[in-house]
Amino acid sequence: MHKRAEHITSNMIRALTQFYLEHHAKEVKMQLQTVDNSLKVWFQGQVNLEESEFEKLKESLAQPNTTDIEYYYSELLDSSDSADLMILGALIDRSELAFDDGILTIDLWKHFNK
Amino acid sequence: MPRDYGPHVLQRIKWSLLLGTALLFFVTSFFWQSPGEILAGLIRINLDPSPLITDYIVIGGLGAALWNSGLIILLGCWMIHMTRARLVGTLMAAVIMVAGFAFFGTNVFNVLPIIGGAWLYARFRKQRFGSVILAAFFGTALGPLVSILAFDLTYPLYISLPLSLMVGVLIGFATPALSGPFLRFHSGYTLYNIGFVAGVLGIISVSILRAYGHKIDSVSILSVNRPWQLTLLLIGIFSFMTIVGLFLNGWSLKGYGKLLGNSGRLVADFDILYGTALTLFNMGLMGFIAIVYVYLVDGPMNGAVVGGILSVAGFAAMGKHPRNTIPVMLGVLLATYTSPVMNHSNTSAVITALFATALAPIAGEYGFFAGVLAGFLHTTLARNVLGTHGGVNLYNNGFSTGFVAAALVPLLRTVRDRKEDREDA
Repeated sequence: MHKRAEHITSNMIRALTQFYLEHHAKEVKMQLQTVDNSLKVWFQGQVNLEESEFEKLKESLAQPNTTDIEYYYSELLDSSDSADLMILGALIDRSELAFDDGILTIDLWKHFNK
Repeated sequence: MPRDYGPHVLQRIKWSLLLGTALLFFVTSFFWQSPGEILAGLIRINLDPSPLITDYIVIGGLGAALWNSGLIILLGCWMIHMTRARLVGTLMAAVIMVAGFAFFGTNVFNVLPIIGGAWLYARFRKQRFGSVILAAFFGTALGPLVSILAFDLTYPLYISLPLSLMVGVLIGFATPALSGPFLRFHSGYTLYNIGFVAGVLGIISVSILRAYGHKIDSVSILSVNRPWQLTLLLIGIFSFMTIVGLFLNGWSLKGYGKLLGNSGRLVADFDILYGTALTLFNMGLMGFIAIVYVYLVDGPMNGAVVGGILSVAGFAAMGKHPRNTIPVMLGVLLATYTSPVMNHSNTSAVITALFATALAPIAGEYGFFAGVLAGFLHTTLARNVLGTHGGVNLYNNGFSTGFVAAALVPLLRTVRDRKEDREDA
């Protein structure tokens, strides 16, 4: 991965970690895989989340991709508002979410252009 | 019922809006000036130092000012076309905003080196130009610096011209590099982030110039009239936006409530989030609200005010809507009405109210009273930061809103966090 992609990736991880902590996660597991300029992130942890909040999260992470502005706006990912996940949603290519028995699992995929 | 138009149709409508506005400006300009007068006016505009606030309607005439704005729109459209970027809300906001500033400070001469610098930055970073196009557009806020260096200093032209172009390129190169990191300062709570970047670059540049004995000061070259034809022109553009938006949405406001629920915090591209129909409707509506404000406070309709109105309408594709902007405008009104040294109907106060709406995300996120407070604070601050950059930064209000957001948001967040902690306990 190039430097810019590394920087955006670390901002993405920070935003997701923040989200889990804000929802009272005691333990969060994370896995990060990079191949060339592609990234796969997996997060899992027990959280206090209403079903409506989960639906909102799914909607946030399903934003249409806006790669043209990814470097510029990825800087906003490190502040602590939940709205940040809308920005995260606009940066990623695809997401898969599951919420069973209080355990929230998030899979994200992103390919970085030059 | 809203019909589902394909993305190609919607793209064409958005392109038609931009190109149609440029065409409208070109055609209507001949009502005010002859082709010869317009050409002479355009030359005067491009050779003017143009510090804030220089009304191009005074410098070149209304026809020439309209041509200047139309040419800037065409330049913006050409850039978007060349980078093959999708015309979304953020880019529409950028083109319309820069077109607005082409009524008081931006011209073809002073934007080209800055855009060239942003292009060089993309080449240097081995990125596509499309990834820095927003910074390239908004970086033109420092256009007056290029013009002042070229035409207002005591150097001979063979020195001042290359110097101005070089500085323009440097500014254009620095803006994309700074625009991302500077977002952290205000956490995206001012929509005019690059106004803040331009303010900092402006202070540095002007400090250097002042250290070498050059006098750089803002000016006030303004028309105080309110030509009804200009208002009519704006009403025509906003009517087109509103009607096309409603038509595309099946003559209904379905989904508009959801748009109004968005805080507007960066990056809220309404075109991507809620579709072209509601975005166009919102742009038209916000344009009308801006015009009504100007008439309510009995303000003038000069180049600066037209620029302010267009920026409100443009950013209605990217964060602004009635719910989050009206509290901020009321805050400005409160400050200008209660202050013994401000006049709510002069150009400075009117454009402060229009550009203060960059703080819309504060009202959107923290509520009505937070928005009023933000508008009030911005009004007092904007007057004082102008001198620091001597008017070389056209986005003086954007600069000021950066400070207001940076100071206010952590306090508002602290109050909200405490409230949430109490609820959790």
